[in-house]
Amino acid sequence: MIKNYQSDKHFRALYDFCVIGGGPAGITLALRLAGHGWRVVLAEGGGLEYTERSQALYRAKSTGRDAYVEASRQRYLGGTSNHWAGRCRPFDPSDFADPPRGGLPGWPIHFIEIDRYLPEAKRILDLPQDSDFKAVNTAIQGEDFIADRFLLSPPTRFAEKYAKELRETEGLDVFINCNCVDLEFDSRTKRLSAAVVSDYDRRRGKIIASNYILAMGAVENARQLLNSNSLASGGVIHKNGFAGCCFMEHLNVDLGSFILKEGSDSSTRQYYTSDTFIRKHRTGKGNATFSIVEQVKSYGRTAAIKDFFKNLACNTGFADKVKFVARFDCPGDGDIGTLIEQFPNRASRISLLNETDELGVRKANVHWEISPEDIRTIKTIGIEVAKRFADSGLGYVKLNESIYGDSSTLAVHPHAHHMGTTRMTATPTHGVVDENCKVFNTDNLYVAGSSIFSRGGACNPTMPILQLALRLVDYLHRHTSK
Amino acid sequence: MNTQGKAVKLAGRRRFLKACGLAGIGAIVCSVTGAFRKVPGAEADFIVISGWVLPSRHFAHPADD
Repeated sequence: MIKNYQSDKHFRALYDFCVIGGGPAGITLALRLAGHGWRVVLAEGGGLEYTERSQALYRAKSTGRDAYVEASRQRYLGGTSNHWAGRCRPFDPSDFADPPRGGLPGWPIHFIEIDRYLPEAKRILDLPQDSDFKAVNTAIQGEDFIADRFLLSPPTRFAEKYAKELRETEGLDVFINCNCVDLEFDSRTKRLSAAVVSDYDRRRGKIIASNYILAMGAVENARQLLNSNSLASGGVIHKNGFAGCCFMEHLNVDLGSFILKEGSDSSTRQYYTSDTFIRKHRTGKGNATFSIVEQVKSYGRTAAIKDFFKNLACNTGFADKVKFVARFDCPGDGDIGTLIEQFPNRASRISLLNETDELGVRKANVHWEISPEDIRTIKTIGIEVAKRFADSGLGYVKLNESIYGDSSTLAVHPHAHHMGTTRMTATPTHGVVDENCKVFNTDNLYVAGSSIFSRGGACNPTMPILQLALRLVDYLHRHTSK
Repeated sequence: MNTQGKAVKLAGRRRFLKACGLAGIGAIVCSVTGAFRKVPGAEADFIVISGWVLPSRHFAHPADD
């Protein structure tokens, strides 16, 4: 049943599970747990559609690079699935086997722990079950890059796809316009005793449940943990702890442009760093996408590009040729974009301001920071993919000066993939949740979503979020007593 | 030309290009274009001119042929 908390504030006296946040992770958890016969409440802060009032509650201050937090999330039922593009790429075994650079530990679980949930995650995302992840292009020369493999979801809009189930699943209460504003923790029992929620007129109530799961996205999950005074006084959240730390994005960098040799296929090409590359260069992972500009597709290649190849091949003097190339200021046949891994870095973090939002919750400050290791990853991928592109006889790459030069100033944009702020680790010394997604030093508080990512790899997060959510459902169902 | 001769010639060309990239003609070229450099951390067979990542074989000095 879907209820509007603005007008209906009747919760059950006790739920088995309280899921906070109605995005892909929250909806999956709520439906699956209710399907197992548990009494579940799903509290979504937004309504059934986008409203500026709800969206404004995402507004955060940015002191580092701008992560466009408010614009990149969707704060209503269905969450950010309401505007995602649908690209699905799975994690690789090496994402789990190898720790990230920078000294922090990586995932405390084995790849197989989430890989076993891949078929079900594919079903949820309406991906073909009988098809493996596919490359759209052939491989590039050498061992450094492979043709990237992925599948495209329609894309699945969770609130639409699961509208009937959200309304009709027995044991599930869905409340919209039901904003979490505090988490009440009992330090004697080590249990969360209530989630305090508010409507848009600041009328508050409490949800009482045996277990609580935060599934609000990487900024909001951390924000709620940091906002709770009782979690702080109970010793769960420390001032210098990891809650909010290691905010990661996938790095979207304009590497430069490229020209294709006459006769080369003008389809988009996507390349992905191989494990060999990562071992050799000790960088993060990344995708480099070569996209032909529409104008070239429509009108064909310019004479200037044809001349460039001709002049490059001819036997003119060295200095003349260098001068010719240096002056060849051509926009090229296409551009090279990226989706590159950012390593976890404590300085890149969510913290809270003293200023509060409309509902009285302290606002978030997002300090997104790129480390020198991240810049090295970007530059190395740019230079090496350019070389392999030439080696393969496809054409030539013109890198932007910030990529091949000595500058450490780079224009890096986000991909709207927020990760890492409640990272999963084996011990509380370097993370927030344990291998079962439970917040350290609590007995009944869990976190779902990409905030638990120990490292982000270079795959789109939605599908792994679902794999981890399905794993959490299994764990909670097995380990919760009626 | 025998194999050894070709190898010597190739090595000479690479030395020449490397020298160009680090100082010598490279400095002259840079004064013209401000844009010639060896690929950072790369093997010797690629150079970058104004961002273009190009195989160095295209820039063999005529006298080296």
